[in-house]
Amino acid sequence: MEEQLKLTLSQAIGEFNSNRAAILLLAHKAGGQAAVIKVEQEYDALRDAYFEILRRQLDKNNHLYERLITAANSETEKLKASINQLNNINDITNLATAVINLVGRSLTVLGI
Amino acid sequence: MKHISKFLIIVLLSSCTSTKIIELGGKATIKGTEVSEKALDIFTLLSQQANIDKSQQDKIKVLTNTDPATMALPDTKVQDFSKQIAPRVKAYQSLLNTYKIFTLLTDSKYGDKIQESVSALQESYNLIKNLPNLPKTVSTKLPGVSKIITQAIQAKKIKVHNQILFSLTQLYIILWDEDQKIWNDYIDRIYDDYSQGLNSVSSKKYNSKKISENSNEPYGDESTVILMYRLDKRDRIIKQKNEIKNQFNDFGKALKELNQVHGEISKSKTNVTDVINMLSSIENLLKQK
Repeated sequence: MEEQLKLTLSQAIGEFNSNRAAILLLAHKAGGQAAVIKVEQEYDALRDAYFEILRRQLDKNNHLYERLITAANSETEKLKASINQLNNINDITNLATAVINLVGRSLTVLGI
Repeated sequence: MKHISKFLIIVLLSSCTSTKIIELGGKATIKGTEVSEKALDIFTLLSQQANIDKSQQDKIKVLTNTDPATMALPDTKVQDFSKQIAPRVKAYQSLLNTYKIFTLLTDSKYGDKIQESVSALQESYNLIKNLPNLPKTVSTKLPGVSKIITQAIQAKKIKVHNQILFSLTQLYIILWDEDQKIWNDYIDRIYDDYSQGLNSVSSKKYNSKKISENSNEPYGDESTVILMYRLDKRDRIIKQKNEIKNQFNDFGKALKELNQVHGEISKSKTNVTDVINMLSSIENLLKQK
């Protein structure tokens, strides 16, 4: 239904464009600039309707984009956790080095 | 001792695979960043179209008016799509952020850092005179083995995250494929309306002398000069339209290749050649043509 309406509107807009100057000439002869403005407003209304259908079609997926944002952010958090785990391996080794250094110093101080 | 040697051989063999996965993961994340940035460029381009359309429609109104001397300055309504563009921009910014973080996971220096840390740990241990020094075999191999183990952990994590990114990019593809048809209609409307409107303008509105001044074409006949100018103008509008639509196509293809890259890296046996070919294909698709 929506696609059919879009197609019909598109054909009407195309027909008008192809004969635009001739249609506006007729309008001008019939009623001057006021008639030209009226015809152009009708044409603009057709385009408005066409673009409105496009907007509605795009809006249908808006809530899915919200879900995508949540999914991408969740993956970012998981990545951060993985990076932390890798850093932790290094941190644990560094901590072990610090502990052994401390033990070494204690042994020296105690003269054992 | 035999067991240690066997263990070391297994570890060394797996280290080559791990290094390759880390390297491929790094390259994939660079391409992921570029594809996300391309998406943001496309939405910037799309957000510019509303004003381009307004300007084109205003020009057509002047050129097709029978008596422009008496007409009011046209002011066509801007076809605002900002509410539709905004959530899409946010989604691709989130994807871009994900790839920026993913870059940190594919850092090849994790292995080197652990190697340095383990060497420092051994040194500290050996400095304590009261404790027996570590056997030479252990002390020479341990830092390297620690690096290999870390790389294996890192490579495994890269595979897991590639699996998640495979699923995530699949969702982006589905939505882009649906949107692309609508954006194509949007671009067709804007540029076809302009081109068709211009085609209907009377030739009397054109000054052939003015056209000849700025042209190298060899035509003398006034009507031919004007028609050739109009043909050129029409072709340029169509070219502009097709360039935008080609960018949509190429982006869609690049996103699909990226998805396949993630899929391949996440497999237990990654086909390195396939991944390299797909990465190269993404590079070509994202090149400005």
